[in-house]
Amino acid sequence: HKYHSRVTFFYLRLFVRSLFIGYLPVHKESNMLAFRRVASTQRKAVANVLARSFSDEATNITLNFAMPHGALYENEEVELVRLTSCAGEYGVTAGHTPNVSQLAPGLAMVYKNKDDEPEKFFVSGGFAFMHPNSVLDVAAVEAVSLDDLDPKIVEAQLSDARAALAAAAADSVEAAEAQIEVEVNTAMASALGLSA
Amino acid sequence: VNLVHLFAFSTHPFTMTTPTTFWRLAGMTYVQYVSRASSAVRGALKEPSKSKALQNEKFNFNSSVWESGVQGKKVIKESAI
Repeated sequence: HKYHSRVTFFYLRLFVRSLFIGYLPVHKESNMLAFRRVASTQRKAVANVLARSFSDEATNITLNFAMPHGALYENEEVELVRLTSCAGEYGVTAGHTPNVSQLAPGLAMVYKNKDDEPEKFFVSGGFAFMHPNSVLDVAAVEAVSLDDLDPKIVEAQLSDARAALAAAAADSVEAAEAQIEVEVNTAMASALGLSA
Repeated sequence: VNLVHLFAFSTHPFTMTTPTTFWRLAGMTYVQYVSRASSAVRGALKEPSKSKALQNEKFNFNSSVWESGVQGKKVIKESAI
């Protein structure tokens, strides 16, 4: 009978669909739980990073202070490092936010203990990298201790550079070279405590 | 206008539209700038650190110009020290 075949065909389709229900991607309870499990592990990872940033356990930073021709400090445990970057002076202690900064000609000070006198170095330029595990890499092109700088030579270089800058044509290569000399010698003079 | 062609034939290393450092505007690269700054620092040292540090300014390399797939004459470039 035609009616019977349509009814049986309808129930046959229902039966076939029931076979596939378990294998089709639907918003089943187990899928939602898996999503929540992944999200919670991500949340835990973020919480771990935050906990490390604000923890009191790590008090030292591991300092690598190197130049192309040699290292001043290699895996040295220090409490504070003060650096001069193009964006300003800043200090680095354990748990500092990871960052990359371009060093400007200026002082870098390494405090083995925060209360002690620092080791002072004049840095000509380079980059400083702070890592999430409290490792600080300072890559300087030239870093000299302040005792090695001769104040008379610095003053002479500064006055020569100022004269060269005044004499050079604006926006020329000579003006740029003179300006580099003026900036570096001004920074050296202020690091040595010389006036103007 | 094909900007790639404009840039490829420009001798300037970048476009001058963004604010940037004075040495970049004068055509210097960062390495050239930091080398000059480091020279200024080394020149201000006391002896004996000065002569030891001036060794860092030594350079020595071969250079040759390639034209149409043919290497030209090799030229040795040395520092004065």
